[in-house]
Amino acid sequence: MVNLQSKLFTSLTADIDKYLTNSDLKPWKNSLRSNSYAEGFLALLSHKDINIIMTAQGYNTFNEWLFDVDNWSQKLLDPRNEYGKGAMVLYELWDVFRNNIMDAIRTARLHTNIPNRGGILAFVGGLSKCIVIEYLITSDYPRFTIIDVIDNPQSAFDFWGTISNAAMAAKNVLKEIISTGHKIILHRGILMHVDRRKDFQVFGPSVDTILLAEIQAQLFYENNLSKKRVLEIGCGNGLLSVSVAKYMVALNKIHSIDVNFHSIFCLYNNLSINITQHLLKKLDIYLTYGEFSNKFPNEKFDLIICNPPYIPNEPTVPEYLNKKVDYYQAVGGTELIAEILNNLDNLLSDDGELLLLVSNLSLDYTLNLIPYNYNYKLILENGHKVLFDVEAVLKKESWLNFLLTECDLIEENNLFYHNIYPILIKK
Amino acid sequence: MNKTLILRFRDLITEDDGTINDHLNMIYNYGEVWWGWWMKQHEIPPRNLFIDVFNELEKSGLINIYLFNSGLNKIYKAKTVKILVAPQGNTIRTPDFEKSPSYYHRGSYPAWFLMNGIEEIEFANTNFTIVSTPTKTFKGDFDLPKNIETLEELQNMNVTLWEIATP
Repeated sequence: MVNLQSKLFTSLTADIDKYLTNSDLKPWKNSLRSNSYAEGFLALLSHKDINIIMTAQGYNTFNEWLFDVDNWSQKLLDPRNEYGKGAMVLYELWDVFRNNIMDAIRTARLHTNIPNRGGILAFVGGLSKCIVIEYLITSDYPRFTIIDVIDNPQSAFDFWGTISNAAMAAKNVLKEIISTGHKIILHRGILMHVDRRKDFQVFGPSVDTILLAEIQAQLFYENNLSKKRVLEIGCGNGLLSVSVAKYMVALNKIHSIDVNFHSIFCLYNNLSINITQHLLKKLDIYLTYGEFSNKFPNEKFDLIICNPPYIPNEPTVPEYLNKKVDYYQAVGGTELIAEILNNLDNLLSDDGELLLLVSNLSLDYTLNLIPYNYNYKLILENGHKVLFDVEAVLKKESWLNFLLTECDLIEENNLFYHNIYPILIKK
Repeated sequence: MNKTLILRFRDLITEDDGTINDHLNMIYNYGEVWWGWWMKQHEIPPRNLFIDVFNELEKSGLINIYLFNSGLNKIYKAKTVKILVAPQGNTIRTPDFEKSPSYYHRGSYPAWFLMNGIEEIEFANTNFTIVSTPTKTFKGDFDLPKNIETLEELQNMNVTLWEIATP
């Protein structure tokens, strides 16, 4: 569970405490409803009384409650029933979540070609849960069903892992969802849509991107820290840029750049889904298709975000190929990391910050490149363990061996893992 | 004597008669419709009365609830088959977006009634007695029980829900 104990988290937890000792739940409700990035699930799942709250409702675990939430809420709406400790916290949480999903699908429908029946992966609770949802649009408002809950998802493609463990009915639904070619992810009130049939080679949203989005939310939005000028290098599907545009209150300008034209188009679509026309008009938004290559000689940013390629290439790979693979497949190579770190003075304003995500495979390399006049902070000291499922590497035995022997790639039960590290770099 | 409810409403968002027509359209299309009970700020949801309605519905499967259009002074009988009540101090969005008119969709209400028939009735043919005004937090300026002589009487009472007895 990613939990940086932000200001908002602390206040949401304090509100639950007060409510459980018979105080009003209004402040909690207001916080949840007025900020769509607010994450009640995180406050609940981290709460010391979570087991007491679940037991009081007759459930052993949070997941058990979530699977039965429709029946549970019907009982709650029968005025003859007494409800146990924490029922209103759960009800509020469910209501906000349900409404967010419905609103997100409705808006997405207006701006993209999402299918009438499909699946959503909703990441909640500081990435401790991935809720797999099937939706069906028959009228203005969609109906939806919870198919599965994946604990501590280690890959944004955990659909496949889910299929093998799911019950037969859920298995079929999941297969149908995958076959649509649409990838829909919900994270902190933002719905991201990638149509795999036309968004060619658009990166993500991978678990890396979602982790960075979670860090962004906890670090900046939940602590009321805002930046005016933001640059995202290698925006891929655009989750990080969309989140900044939607939630950074003092933002004037965001510049997103990617080498893949389809990524830029995908980001444009996702901005339309998530950001109101009014806000879009207010912001300076630049979407650039092309290589980064220090394109901004006269411009400085208060925040740069980047989820770069971070898998070291084999030493035998020629340098020109290294760079090409790095840029155009968003897979191997560490050139972009070096390019950004070498240009920090040109890119960052005096109190500007770089939020960078690398892997333990390239952590030492990255830290060694940080200029002497900059400090860094590993936001998650031990990193975040995720599945290493990069096909290009898995297909090339010599590269895989190099990462296992030289770069500490982790092998467990015939699967590979690595730790990803968000790093904050500033003067 | 049977006890039941009158719920007050007005065509605030729709044209005249629009509220009832929208609900009737839903009944025509889906066989049933959710009616959201809106209350004034000074009122409190009558939890005990709702419990009685729940029990009655469990016993008989259907009760008649009356809907009073205070703008047009019209009264309707609504066949009600289910009620859902928001947890204490809360409001809830419609239990089924498909089966509720679109103007409800953004709002959130203290109770919802599922109805499968609504028809206008002649007030002159009714004989309602107000038993209580349980949403009121203060004492009213009339004694109860009270026979309703005209719909203007209901109009002048500052509440949105009455517990009534019918012959």
